[in-house]
Amino acid sequence: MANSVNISIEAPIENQIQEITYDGQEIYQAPLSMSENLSRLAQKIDFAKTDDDFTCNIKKEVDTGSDVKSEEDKEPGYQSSLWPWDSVRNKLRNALTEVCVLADVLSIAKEKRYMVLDPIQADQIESRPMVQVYGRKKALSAAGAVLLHGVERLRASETMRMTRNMPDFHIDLLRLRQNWRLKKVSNTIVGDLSYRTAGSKFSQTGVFEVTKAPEEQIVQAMSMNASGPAPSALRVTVPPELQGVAFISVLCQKEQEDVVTATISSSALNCPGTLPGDGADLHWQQKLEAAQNVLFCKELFARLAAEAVQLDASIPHMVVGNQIMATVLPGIQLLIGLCHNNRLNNSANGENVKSESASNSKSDHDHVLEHSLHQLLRAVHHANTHHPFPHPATGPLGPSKRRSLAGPMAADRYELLDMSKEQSLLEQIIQQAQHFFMRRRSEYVLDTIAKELSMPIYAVGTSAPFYQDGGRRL
Amino acid sequence: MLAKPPLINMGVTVLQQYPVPENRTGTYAIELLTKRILALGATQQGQFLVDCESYLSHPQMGTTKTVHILHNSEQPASVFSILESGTKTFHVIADGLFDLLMMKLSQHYTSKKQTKIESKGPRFELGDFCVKLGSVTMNQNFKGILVEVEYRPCVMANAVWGLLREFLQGILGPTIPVQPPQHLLSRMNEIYTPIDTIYQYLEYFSAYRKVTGLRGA
Repeated sequence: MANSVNISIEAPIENQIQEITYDGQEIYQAPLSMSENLSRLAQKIDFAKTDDDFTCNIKKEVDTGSDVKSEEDKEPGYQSSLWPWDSVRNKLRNALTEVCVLADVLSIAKEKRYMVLDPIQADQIESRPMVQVYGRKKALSAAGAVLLHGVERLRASETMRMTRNMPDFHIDLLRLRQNWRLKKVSNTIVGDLSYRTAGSKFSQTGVFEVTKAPEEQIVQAMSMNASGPAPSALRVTVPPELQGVAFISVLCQKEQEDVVTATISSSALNCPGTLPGDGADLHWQQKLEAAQNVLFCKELFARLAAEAVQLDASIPHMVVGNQIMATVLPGIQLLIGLCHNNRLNNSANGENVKSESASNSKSDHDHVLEHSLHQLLRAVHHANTHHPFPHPATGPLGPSKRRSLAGPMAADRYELLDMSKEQSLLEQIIQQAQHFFMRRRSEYVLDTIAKELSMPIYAVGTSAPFYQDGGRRL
Repeated sequence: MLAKPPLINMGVTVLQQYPVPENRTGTYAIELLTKRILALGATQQGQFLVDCESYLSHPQMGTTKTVHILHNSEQPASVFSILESGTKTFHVIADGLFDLLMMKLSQHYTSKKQTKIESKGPRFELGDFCVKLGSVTMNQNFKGILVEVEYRPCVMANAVWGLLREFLQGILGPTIPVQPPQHLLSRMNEIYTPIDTIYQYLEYFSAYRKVTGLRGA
């Protein structure tokens, strides 16, 4: 067939790898030659072993001593390259000696003058079936006791739970399993609350552990609020770096002369306390959601900070501590801060935060920009997981639909250049802020003109917002 | 990978051969044309390259077919392929992976390496015009000069042919006759697409392959 396609199959490399160099190159051992292979196989022959089981059994006792000896000289025999057949020669010589001695013994025994061979009564192994039965019975009853003990404990806890109307651990676990990713690792149940499966590429993990809440705590919680919802029998343990409350705060402000003091005063951004209720008696759903939010805010801030350092703007962006400063328009700064209220540091400067919050309350942060920052990161996550169809059978999966069509549509170089441009989150948020300020200024100008000139009537209105700024009305 | 004719705003392009004057080298002719274009006020914008490689089908597959694979630096992500089967021609525009596909088909389509031909040289922009001066080489042997002129604002050859002819006459000089390219004659009233440029190049490349030595000298 002229049209048939040959498929070439390569045999796997059977040579042993001698060394892997740092650049990943593998150095193989040269294959053994025929004579080397023969001598290697000859090393492996166990001359003490025979096919016959009977003789094997007898010989085992005789040969144990010599076996150990031959094992010892086998190693150096192969290692030292004096003469590869050396150990084989030694073994054959030993065998010859043994055969000669055996022949002598037999010939002497045949004479019946110096030596007589007598049959020996083999001592019988006494088998007492009753002992075995008792032994097994004892072992079985011990195993049964363990199982019964376990059942008893389970039953006791179950009845206690029923009588005291306590929540069921397994039902709670089932509910948890419906909304969160869990897996069992040896004896513990761990879950993952990170956004990895949703397209996040943030390196920090969001592993939490699920345990059963101690009964005393449940009882205590039930006695505390008998009317409220039943406490959960589950306890989730979130890593300390994800505990507490976090949010991204965006602030637009006039540029201050003393940048340093501005940073210090606003670095302690006021966090609105912790979640209602302390960690232990918080429901696991709220606790996990809060931790997930902390992780999300951390990813957002880490990304923005990385972009702020990478972008070279005419006025460089500054990243100080947990704040990013970017100049939106001359004289107007955009402050993006990460507020993470961990219970650890909250106890230290709790009063400090309160006093700050009073003074800082006048500069209200920009909810719209905060919201759109969240949306932008979610859009990035979405784009990471949702590749445009059709997916090529061969070829990269990453590029956009426009880029994958660029070849067949014969796009020219300008269009390709245009496609390669990608706006970072920070650039987009700065553009939104600029848009907001430009609109406010132009509105102000139009208002003042309308005030000064009575004749023309200006109706000032803003059309549908260009950016996704949540229907802002001025 | 078949695609409809793209609706990309690409201007009408005319390819014209410039005969190298007697007893002169190709470099001299290119320099002469460069001087003329620069005198008109054009600016050089990098280099360009159009190359063509042809593959012949295996005789066992029946009638011999030829596949021409062309690349144009103006469309860097695309691979143009034109299949000649008897009197009919088909074209496919694909992305860069098509080159790898041709390597896989090497058993059925054998490459004629010695006929790999290319046109490359400087690229000038002058207002709405884009001029490319290409020296055609086959296996490092100089074969001739091709001048490509593109008028970008217009997509219909009929509407702009007069202007292009005048512009070409201005650059090449009055002694050289300027005719509309054979490929465009039937497509004067259709929207111009990048593959039309490729067809023009293929026409000239095929002619260059047939003659030995310099052509039109």
